Amino acid sequence: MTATWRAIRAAVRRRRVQTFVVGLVVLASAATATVALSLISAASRPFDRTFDAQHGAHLVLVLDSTKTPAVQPPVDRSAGVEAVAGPFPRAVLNLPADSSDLVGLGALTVVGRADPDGPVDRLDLWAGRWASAPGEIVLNAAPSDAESGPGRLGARIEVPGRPALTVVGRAYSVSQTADAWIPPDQIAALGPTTAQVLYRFADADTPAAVAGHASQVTDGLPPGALLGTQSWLTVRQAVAAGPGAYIPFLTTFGLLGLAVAILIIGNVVSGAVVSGFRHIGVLKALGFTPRQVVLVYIGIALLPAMVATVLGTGLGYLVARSVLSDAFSGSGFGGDVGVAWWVPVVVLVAVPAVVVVAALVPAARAYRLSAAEAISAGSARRAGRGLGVQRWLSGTRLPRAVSLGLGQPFARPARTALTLAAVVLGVATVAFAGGLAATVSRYAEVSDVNNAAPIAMRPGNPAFGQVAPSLDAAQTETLLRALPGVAHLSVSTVVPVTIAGQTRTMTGGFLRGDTDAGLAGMIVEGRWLRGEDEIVVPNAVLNERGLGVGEDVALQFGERIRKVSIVGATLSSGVGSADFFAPWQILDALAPGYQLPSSDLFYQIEQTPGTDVTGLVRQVNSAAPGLYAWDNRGTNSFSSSVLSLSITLSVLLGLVAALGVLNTVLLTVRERRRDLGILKSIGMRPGQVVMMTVVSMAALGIVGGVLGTPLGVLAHRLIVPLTARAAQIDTPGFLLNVWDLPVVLLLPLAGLVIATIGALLPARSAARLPIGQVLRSE
Amino acid sequence: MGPSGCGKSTLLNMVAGVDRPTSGSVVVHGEDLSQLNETGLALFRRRRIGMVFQFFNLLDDLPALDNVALAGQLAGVPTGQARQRARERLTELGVGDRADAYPATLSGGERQRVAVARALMNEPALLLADEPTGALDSASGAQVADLLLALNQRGQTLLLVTHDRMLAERVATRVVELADGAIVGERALERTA
Repeated sequence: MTATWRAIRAAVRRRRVQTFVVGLVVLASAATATVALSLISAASRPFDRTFDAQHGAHLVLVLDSTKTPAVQPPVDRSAGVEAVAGPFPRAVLNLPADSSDLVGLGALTVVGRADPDGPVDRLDLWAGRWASAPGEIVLNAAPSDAESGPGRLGARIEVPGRPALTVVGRAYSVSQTADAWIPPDQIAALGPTTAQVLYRFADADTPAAVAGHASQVTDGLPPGALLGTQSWLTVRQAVAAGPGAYIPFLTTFGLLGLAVAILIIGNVVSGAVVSGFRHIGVLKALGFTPRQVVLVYIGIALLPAMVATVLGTGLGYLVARSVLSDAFSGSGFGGDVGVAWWVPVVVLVAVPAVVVVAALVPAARAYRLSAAEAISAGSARRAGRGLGVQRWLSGTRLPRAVSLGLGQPFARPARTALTLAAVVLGVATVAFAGGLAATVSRYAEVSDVNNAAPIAMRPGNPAFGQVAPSLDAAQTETLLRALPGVAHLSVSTVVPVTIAGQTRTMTGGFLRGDTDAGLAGMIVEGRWLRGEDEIVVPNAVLNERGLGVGEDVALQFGERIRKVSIVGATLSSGVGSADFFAPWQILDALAPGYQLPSSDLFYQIEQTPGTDVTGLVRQVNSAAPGLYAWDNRGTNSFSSSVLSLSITLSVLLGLVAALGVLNTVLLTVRERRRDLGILKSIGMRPGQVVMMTVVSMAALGIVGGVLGTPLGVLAHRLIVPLTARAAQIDTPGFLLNVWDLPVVLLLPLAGLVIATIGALLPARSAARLPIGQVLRSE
Repeated sequence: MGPSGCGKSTLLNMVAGVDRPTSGSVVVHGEDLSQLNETGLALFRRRRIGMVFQFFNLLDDLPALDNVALAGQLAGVPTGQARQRARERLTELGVGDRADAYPATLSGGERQRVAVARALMNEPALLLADEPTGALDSASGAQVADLLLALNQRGQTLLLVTHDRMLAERVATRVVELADGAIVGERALERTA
């Protein structure tokens, strides 16, 4: 083993550049794979773990308590029911707007429960104690929100006409069954009209299974008693939606990285065997067994790969932690989400295994060669392949350095195929990432309400040290409309309401003024608002809640209910992450006299053609005290993060492809040292050597570009819809048709650039080869 | 002339601008080679020097004709003209019928003739030959010796490095003897043939 180890070490030292290239490629691939696997795992893992620990509710039924008896349904095991909890009385508490800093919500779904335990939905009471006395309440919050979340212990919630409540505990329900809990005997004071029943089933892994169980357990309820249901799959999907958007294309990048790594490793090791025939012969002549020789050649690749895998996994771990923390921070899992233990283990085992497999095939050639064969094969000169092509090229009028370069790829078809594959993958990656960036950019354009108008304004909030506006909302609107240069003005706000039958609060975006200014462009299905009793819902919310365009729903605010129709779907949630958009009249109908703080109003202004935006912003700010306007043109942070991520990853993989090319040229230069020495001895200039070497790879680059471009475009067409679907976003045609003909025609140049960059360095070293030394040693 | 390791090939390589001296200077045809960069040396070799090696140093992927024509093509001679001239050189050296053969299929003597043809392609002022018969059997070696002699008699200046005294006495008009990197003797010779 010592001799083998020494031989490996010596070979690795002698091939420093190749060792560096293998290491770099494996490092990048291991890091990408770690990030991709971590995201896939995290998208469901923390939820499932917590859900199981809490005996989460697979199904929540919301019933009209006036129509159903207040007794617990039996555990019907024949219907697959494992456990039942409830009915728990349930009320919606509408908080005054100025209390939102206490609990962070405008409306609280409050449930009466005697304790946090039970057969279903065992709450994690992580701060304070359970509410047991009148005037006590426990808020639903994740432990990760301990520092930043709303509702600190001791905070008082005061709602006119209701008893004041003091926060005595903070508990977490991963099933999201309520926003808060109070003792059952106290909820009567809040006027409960509904009740909830929580179910756990033996099998609830699919929507069909949950729907089947729901149908069985609700069978026999009095007509009109069932107000709504909530499946645990819906809650889980909502948690996974954020990072879900990243997963498919990150996974694709990871797989691309691995494929490029495998190709380059295969290329490097086969090259090492081919260029090391004489070395193999010498090893065997010294007494190395065929097995030891194979070990040496696997070791040459494995040694740097092991080091790089460890470094790459560590790097990927750090990146993954940061990405996961960002992605899940709004979902209540921020502090909890880490990289699953098995991810680094899998990467640390799988990546070296891939390296060994890639090395094994060419190393087997070393096994079969006898010492004499190896030494003579290493010494003997033999003609390459593709002689006809080279001969034809030598007869053309091309400069001889160019025709010699063009002929080189034909002399080593297997290596040429591997290099071509590396370039094709590199170009496909660049094309895919470019398409993704264009899609995200278009998505940002149409979906970001912040960007719908060039100027935005919010009245000042004294709580943030700003000046309170001196004018009321109507006066402010009149003042703004009168300013020269203002073409359109819209006012919006968000108010939490519920949809009757749904347990979770929805954020309603209410609009007035020129509401179609910019917003109608977001419609991807149906149409924009026209009538009073219409709402438009972001398609992510439609998908998440199982709603559709054309359906009617009942909006509830306190005890008031208003039936409305969903007439359209938008791409995103816009300002305040609204769950639906509605005309202001609905807010007036649901909450007459509801007093909104001025600072909760959001004004959007479009200027007349030719008006300077900066100047108009200044005008608005100086029109009255307490008006804070800003230039609203720019890209939102989600688009920026996806754009920078895709650009970083595509540059990384483009670089890896270029490294593959660099490695191939290094091997070729080493193998052709004698030829280069001869060419220089008969008068080939260094510039001609560089030209010949670069041309040999540039030709492959162009072919790789021509093949890789359609592959990248195809990957974009297939993966982007998948990505969007994971984030519960539909992809209309204009998001996918981002390819202009000139762009498609220019993309193959990416292959040329990759190949040229990869070839330039070794080409320059080839030009500097000392002729005398080369010809003597060969 | 001189024994192995005396510095014969090193001297030849320095005259060709293939190796650079660690001290001193090499002046060939009035050009100080130490003042030339790599491109300058390449142009110098292309215009002034033809080289013949012990192990032929032909490009295995090209047939004999293209090996010879290559030297002209690199110097900027149009392809058709270079091939025509290469064919003439091969014919002059008695291997015109092997123009389309690849080096691997040629005998040692034929390879060396092709190598000489390539060295003469650009009509160099100086032909350098490093042990040109060293890898050949005696019959082929004798043929190559005859070829070099004939070239010299036609006016081609030839700098030949060998440890073969018989070859030197047959071809050379002046012999410089080296030992351990230094000149130890110099004499003029009458040709034996």
